[in-house]
Amino acid sequence: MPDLQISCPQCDYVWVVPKAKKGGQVNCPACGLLTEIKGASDTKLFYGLVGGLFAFLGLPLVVSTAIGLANGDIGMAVCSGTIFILVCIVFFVSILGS
Amino acid sequence: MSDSQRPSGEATPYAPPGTVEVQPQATTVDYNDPVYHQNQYLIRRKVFKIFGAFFHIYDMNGNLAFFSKQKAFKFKEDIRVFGDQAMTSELLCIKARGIFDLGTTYDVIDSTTQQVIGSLRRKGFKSFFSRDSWVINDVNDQEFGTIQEESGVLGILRRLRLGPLVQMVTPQKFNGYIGDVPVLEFTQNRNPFIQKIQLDYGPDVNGLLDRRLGIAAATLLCAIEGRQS
Repeated sequence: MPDLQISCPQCDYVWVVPKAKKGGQVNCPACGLLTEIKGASDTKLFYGLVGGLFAFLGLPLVVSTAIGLANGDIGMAVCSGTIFILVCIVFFVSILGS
Repeated sequence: MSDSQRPSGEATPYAPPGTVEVQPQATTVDYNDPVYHQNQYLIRRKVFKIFGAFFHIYDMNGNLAFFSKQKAFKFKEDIRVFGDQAMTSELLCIKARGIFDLGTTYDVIDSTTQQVIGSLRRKGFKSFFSRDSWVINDVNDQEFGTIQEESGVLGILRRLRLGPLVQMVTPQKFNGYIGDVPVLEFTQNRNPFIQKIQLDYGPDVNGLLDRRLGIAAATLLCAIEGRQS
């Protein structure tokens, strides 16, 4: 498993930790400062799931909105568009919150 | 005399009485404090808490030894253990490394010294399908202990619809080991509505386990396993 290179923000000491520590906390071996390793151990899985869910829910809504607009069915377009906007808000909150 | 000329510590006589704030004294508790070295603790989850969770940790005499707060709306689980209910002195910090609980690792940090004590890793698939199992790691992520549910068969039954009934008949019990040496026991109560865990360090006669890790493990069990139920 490849390692992660960490630089201490206080003393600039550089050391290597196992990749499994990603998202965790480590003490600098030189000055002892508690340092958080940015990210999360399952970042790819999280973004993959959120992105996949967004595509799964969002694409049919976009298509539905487009069909509604093309056919002059304003009710369908507004309904689908509103739900799509809600899905977008949840998506951005999830991404920003992480 | 203006406020800047007034000697430090002297209160202004013109301040309305309502504005005087009394700050609770922060208590400093290090690992040598007897509060860490009791043989038994009782962890009780606060029932009426919608977002996040609070845990009261009582010592053998029924006094509040620690108070724990699980933060709400956090992608990565964040649990803090305090020395008092006013949360003036943070003693332990338990932080997840990942977003998903399935098999993630929780770092345990002594907040007073800002030192990582070790970590606790949940065995995801085993905990999901059969008995709950945790691994105790040292600072370098080397496994040196385990905590697991006593019975695999009962563990499977608890995951079925009969879970609360099984819990009432035979409360969930966990055993902790350093190597093959038993060091602690967790016993849940029978009441399916009020979650309580009895933490017993009785088997750890040689003091093999860092008590802070045991308290963190008990709080995690209450927070994580409690949420599943």
